[in-house]
Amino acid sequence: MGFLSLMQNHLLTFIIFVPVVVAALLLCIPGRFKPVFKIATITATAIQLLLAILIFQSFNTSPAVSSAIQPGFVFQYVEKLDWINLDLNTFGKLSIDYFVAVDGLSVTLVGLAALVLLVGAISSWTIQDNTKGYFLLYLLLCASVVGCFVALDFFLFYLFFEFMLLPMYFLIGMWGGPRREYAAIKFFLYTLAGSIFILIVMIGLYTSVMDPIETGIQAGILNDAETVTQAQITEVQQRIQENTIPKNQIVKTFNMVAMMDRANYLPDTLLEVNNNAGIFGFSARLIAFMALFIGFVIKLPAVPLHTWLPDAHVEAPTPISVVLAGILLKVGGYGLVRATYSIFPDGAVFFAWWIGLLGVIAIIYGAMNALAMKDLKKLIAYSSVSHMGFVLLGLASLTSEGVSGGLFQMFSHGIITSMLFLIAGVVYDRTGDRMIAHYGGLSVKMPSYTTLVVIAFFASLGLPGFSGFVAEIMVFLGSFNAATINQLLPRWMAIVATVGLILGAAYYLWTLQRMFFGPYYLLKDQWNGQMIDLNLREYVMLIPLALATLVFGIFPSLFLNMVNASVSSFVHFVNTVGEENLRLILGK
Amino acid sequence: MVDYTSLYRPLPLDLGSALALVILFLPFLSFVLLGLFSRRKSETLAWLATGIHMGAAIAAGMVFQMAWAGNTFHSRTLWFALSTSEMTYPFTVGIWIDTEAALMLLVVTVIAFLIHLYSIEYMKGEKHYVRYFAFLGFFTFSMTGVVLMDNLLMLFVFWELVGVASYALIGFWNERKAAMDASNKAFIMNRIGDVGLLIGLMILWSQFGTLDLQVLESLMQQSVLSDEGTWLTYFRANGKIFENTAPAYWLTLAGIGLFCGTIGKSAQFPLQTWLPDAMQGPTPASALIHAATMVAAGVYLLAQVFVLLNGDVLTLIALTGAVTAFMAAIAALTQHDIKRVLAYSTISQLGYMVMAMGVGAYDAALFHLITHASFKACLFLSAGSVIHAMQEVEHGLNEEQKKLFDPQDMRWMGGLRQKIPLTFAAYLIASLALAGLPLFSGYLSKDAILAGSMAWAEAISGRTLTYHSLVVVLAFLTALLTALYMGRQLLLVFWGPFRAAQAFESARQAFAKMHEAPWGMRIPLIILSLLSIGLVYSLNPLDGNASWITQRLFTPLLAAPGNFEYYDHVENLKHQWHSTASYMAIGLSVLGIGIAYLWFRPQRRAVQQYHRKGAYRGLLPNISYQHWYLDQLYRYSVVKPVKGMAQAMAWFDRKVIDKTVELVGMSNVVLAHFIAFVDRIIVDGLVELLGSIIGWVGQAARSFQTGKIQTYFILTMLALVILLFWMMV
Repeated sequence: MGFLSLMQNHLLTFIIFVPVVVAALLLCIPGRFKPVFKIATITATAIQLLLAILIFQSFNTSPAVSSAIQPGFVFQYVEKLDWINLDLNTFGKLSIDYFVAVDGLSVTLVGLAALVLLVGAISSWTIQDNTKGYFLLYLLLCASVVGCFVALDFFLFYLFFEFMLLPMYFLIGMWGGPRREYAAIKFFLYTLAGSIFILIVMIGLYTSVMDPIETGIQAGILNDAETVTQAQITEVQQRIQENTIPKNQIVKTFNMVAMMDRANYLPDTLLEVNNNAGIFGFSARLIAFMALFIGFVIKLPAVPLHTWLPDAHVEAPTPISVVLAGILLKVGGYGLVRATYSIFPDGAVFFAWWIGLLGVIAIIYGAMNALAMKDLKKLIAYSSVSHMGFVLLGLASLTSEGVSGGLFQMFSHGIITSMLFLIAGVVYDRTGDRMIAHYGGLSVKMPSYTTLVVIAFFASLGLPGFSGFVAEIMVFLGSFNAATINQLLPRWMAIVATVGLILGAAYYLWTLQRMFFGPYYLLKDQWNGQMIDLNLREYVMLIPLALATLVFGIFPSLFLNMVNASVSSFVHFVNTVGEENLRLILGK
Repeated sequence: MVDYTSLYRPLPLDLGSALALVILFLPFLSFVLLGLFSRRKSETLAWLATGIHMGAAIAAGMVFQMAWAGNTFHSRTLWFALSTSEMTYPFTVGIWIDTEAALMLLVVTVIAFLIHLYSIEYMKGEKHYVRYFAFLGFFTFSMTGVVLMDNLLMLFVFWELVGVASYALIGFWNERKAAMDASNKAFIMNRIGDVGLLIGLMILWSQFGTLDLQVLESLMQQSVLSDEGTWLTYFRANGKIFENTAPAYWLTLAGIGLFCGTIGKSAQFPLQTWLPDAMQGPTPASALIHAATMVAAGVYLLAQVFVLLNGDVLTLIALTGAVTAFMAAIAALTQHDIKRVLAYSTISQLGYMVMAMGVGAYDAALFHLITHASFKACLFLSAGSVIHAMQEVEHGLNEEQKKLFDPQDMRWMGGLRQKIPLTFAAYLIASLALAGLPLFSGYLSKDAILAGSMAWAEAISGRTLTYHSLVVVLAFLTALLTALYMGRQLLLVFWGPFRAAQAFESARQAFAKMHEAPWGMRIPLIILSLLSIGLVYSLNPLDGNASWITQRLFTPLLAAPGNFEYYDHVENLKHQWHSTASYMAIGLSVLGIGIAYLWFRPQRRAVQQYHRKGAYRGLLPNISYQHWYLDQLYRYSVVKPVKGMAQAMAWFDRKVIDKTVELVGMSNVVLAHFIAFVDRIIVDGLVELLGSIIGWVGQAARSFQTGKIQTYFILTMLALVILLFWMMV
C-alpha cells in the first residue's frame, strides 16, 4: 500500500529512474551473462511503458484551469523539490528545482518514448559485442530521454538533454557501421554546437527571471508554497517591477513555467520585454528566440542543419536508428514547443513566416533527396527530414489545427519511422547490404515482410487510416487557415507543401516497385539462402507498431483528446502574449 | 443567421443508415476474411466473397427502394474534435443517403457482385486467387464509403483508399514490370489530383470551419462577394459571430481544387494517361474499377459538391470534359489492343459526364454514369470472354509464335461471332448502347447530355459563336467518333476471317474448337447486356427525359455567390434543343457506323490482312495511336526533370551543405592545430625558455662549485681584481 501510493505520487520519477536503477544493478553482473542484460533491459523498458500507460490512463484530458503558477497551463503529476540552492548575496538567490510534470504537450511523447524504447530494446537482441556496455548505455539513454520530456526546470531539462548525447555517441561510435566514428563525432559535435546556443539562452534567462513564489516567501509576502493565491503572486510581481524587494531576497530560477510570464522578469535585465537596449540594435529576446530555435532545430532536424542525420542513421545499428528517428528527433520538436515558443512567444509571432518557409523547404527538399537516394536507410532518413518539415509548418501557423497536427505528426512519425528503420534492418541483418538496386521482387521470397513494408510505406506516405494522414491533414488545414485567423503565414505555403504528398508517394512506390515487386533478383547468389521471411522477434516488433499507427489513424481522438486542452491554451497564449510582447519590444 | 452548432449536431442512426453501414462493412468483412487466408487457393473462399457481395447488393436494393420512395437518411457522429480558445470544431463521420447516393450504391454493389461471379471462373488457376478477391472486397468497401459519406474529409479518406485498391489491382501481377509501372503511374497521377482536392478542402475549411456537405451548402448560401472583391462568409456559434474573408478568387480556386479530384480519378485532361495503362490489371477488375465504378467517382464527387461550384468553375469543367471526350475518342480509333480501345472509350465517356456536369445537365450526367456503368462493364467482361477464348489459341502455339501473338490484339482476331455467339450478342448490344443508337440505354443518356450542352451554349452566349460553342462541336464530333471506333472494333473482332489462322496452322485447329466461356462468366454478361437496353430505363425508348431516373433527379441550384443567372435558363432551353440534339446524334451515330463499315468491311483485303499491319506511319495516325503524345510529353517535361532535380538536390546536399559543415569542422581542427602550435612553440616555448634560462644559470653557477679550494681561491682573486679595476676606472 505504501509503495503503491508512493508510486502513484511519483510516477514520473519512477519512469525516469527505473532504467537507472536497473543499470546500477547490472553494473554488478559480469559481462559474460549476455542474456541477463538483454532481458533486464527489455524488462526495464517494459516497466517504463507500463508506467506510461498508467500515466495515460489517469491523465485528465479536460483539467480545470486553476493553476496559480501560470494561468491557462495545467500540469499534472507535478513533483517539485528543491535541488540546488545558493545564496549569492547581492546577486540574489539561485534555485534549481527537481521539477517534473506533464501536460498535453508532453504526455503523448512520454508514451511514444516508452513504446519506441521497448521496441528498440527488443531489436537490440542481436547485439553480440560488448553486450554489457551496450545495454548499460541504452538504459542511460532511456532515462535521459524520458527525463527530457517531463522536466520543467530548464537546468534539469538541459541536463537530460545533454546527457542523451553521451550514450548516443558511444552507441553509434562503437556498435555502428564502417564509418561509425565519423558519424558519431559529427552527430556529437553538431548537437553540442546547438546545445551551446541553448546554454547561452538558459544563462541569460536565469539572470532575468525570478520565481515569484520563492521570492515571495523570502520577502515575507507569502507564508508557504502550498497556499499561494493568484493575488499574492501578482503582488510579488508588482513589487519586483517597482524594485521594492531587496536584491538579496530575489530568488532567481530556472523554472520554465515562471519564464513564460513576462511579469517574472526583473526590470532592466537582458531578456526583459521592456528592455530596449538589445544587441546591435536588435531585441535581445528575438535573438534569444533564434538561438534557442537553432539549438532545437538541429535536433529536429531542419534543412540546412540536417546533414548529420543521414550519416548518423546509416552508420547506427538498427535499434539506435529506431530510437534516434523515433524519439530523439522529437526532443527537438518538443524543445521548440516547450522552451522556444513558450518562453519567447514574441519570437514565434515575429519569425512565423520564416519558420513556415523553413518547414516548406524541409518538406520538399527532404522528399526530393529521398527520391534520389540509393540506400534504403538514407531514403528513410531523408523522408524523416521531409516529415519533420510538417512539424515546423504546423507550429509556425500557430493555429489549433496546425499545432495539434504538428504534435500528432511527431507522435505518428515516431511510430511509423521506427517501423521503417526496423524494415531496413531486416534486409541488412540478412545480407549486410541496403542498396535498393541490389534487390528485386522480394515479395516472392518474403511475402509477410513485403506486406509489412507496404503497410509502413503507405502509412508514411500519408494514407488515410494511418495516423500520419490525420496529422498531415491537420497541418495543411492549420497552415492554410493561418492566413484567415492570425495572418502569420501566406496561403501559398500550405499549397506548395502539398507537393510533398506527391513526392512522398513517388519515392515510396518507386522503392516498392524496385525492391519488392517485379522479377526476383539479388545482387549476389549466396544471399538467396538468407532471404528468409520474418522471424518471431521481427513480428513482435513490427506488428504492434503497425497496429498502433492504424489505431491512432482510425481513432485520432485517442491522441487529440490528450492534447486538445493544452494545445488550445498554448495557441491562445503564444498568439496573444506574443503579440503583446512584440508590441512592447518593437515599441509600437 | 444560421447557427453552426444547430446545423452540425449529431444525428442518431436511422434504419437506412444502419443498412448502409451493413453494406459498407460486408465487403470489408470479405476483405479481412480473405486477406487472412490469402495464401490458400480455395474456390470456396471466392464463392464466400461473392455471396457476401450478393448480400450487399440485396441490402443496397432495399435502401434504394426506401430512398426512391422519397426518404433521405442521415446519421452523424463525432470522430474527433479540435478545440480552439473560441470554440470546439467537430470532425464528424456520417452517412447521408439521398436519391443520388442510393442509385450509386445500387450500381456499385450490383456490378461488384456480378464481377465477383464472373471472376470465379476467369481467375481460376491464378497463384494469388484469393488475394484478388480480397482486394475486390476492399475496393467495394472504399467505393461504398465514397458514395455514403456526408462530409468531404471522410469522402477524401475513402477516395484515397479507392486509389489504393486500384493500385493493388492494377499491379495484381506484381512480378510483371509493366503492371507495376502502370500501378505506380495510376497512384501518382491520382495523387496529383487528390492534392488539388485537398487544397479545395483547405479553402473550404478556412472559410467555413466545416467540411460537412450539408452545412457547407447552407453556409455557402449565406456567403457573399463584396464589391471590393472579397469573399465573406459568416456563421454564428456559441453566441458569437464568426466572419472569415478571403480574396474572391479563392471561391473559384476552391471549385477548381475540388474538380482536380475529378480530373485525377475520372481520368480527365490533363491527367488521363494513367487509365489506358491501368488495363494491365485483370480484365474483370478493369471492368469494375476502371470502367464502371471507380472512375465514375469523380463525376459523383462533382454531383456532391455541385452547389459549391460557381459559374467559372462549371465552364472550366465543361471545357475540360469536352476536350477529354474528343481526345480520347480520337485515340480509340487506332488502338490494336481490344482493352485499350475500351479504355480510351471510357475516358471519352467520362469526359461526356464531366462535360454534362459543367453545362448544368446534372441529371443527364448521373444518368449517363449509370447507363455507362452497365454497358461498359458488359463490354469489358465480353472482351474478357474474347481474351479467354484467344488464350486457348495461344496455348496451341510454340514459343516462337507466342512472341508474335497477343491474345488481346485485335489484329489476330476476326470472325469470332460464330464461335462465341453469346459473347458476340452481348458485345453487340453494349456497343450499340455506347454508340448511342435508339432503343439502347446509351442513346437516352447521351441524348440528354448533348441537348444540355446546346442549351448551355445558348444560355451563355445567345446564338453567337463563342468558345462555349466549342463544347457543343466537340461533343457531337465525339458522338460520331464513338460510333466509328466501336464499329471498327466490332468488325475487326467478330466479322471477317480469323486472322490468326492465316498465320499459324495450329491456330486454325484451335479456332475450330473455340467455345463459349463457362456459365459463371455468361450470366453476368447476360444481365449486363439486358441492362443496356433502353426499355429498362424508359418506357419511351426514344426519349431520355421520360426515364424514371431523370424524373427523380433534379439539378440543384448553385449556392455559391456570384452572377450566374444564365444557369437558370439552361433547364428550359434543354427541352427546346432536345429533338434537334437527338436527330443529330442518331444521324452522326449511323454515319460513324457507316464509315466504319466502309473502312473495315470484311471483304476488304486490307482488313483480311490486318494481322500484317505494323507500326503506324505519319503524324496523324500516330497522334491517335500515341494519344496525342501526352505520355512522351510528361516523360520529358515532368518525370525526367523531377528525377534530374532530385539528383541535383542530392548533389547539393552532399557537396554544398554537408561540405560546408565539414569545412566548418575542418577549419576548427585547423584552428585547433594552430592553437596547439602556438601553445607548443610560444606559450610552452616561453615556459621552456624560462626553464632553460634558469637551467643555464644553474648550470653556470654549478660549474663554479667544483669542490677544489684552489679554484675558489683563483675565482675569488679574479673577482677581486675585476672589482678593483671597476672601482678604479
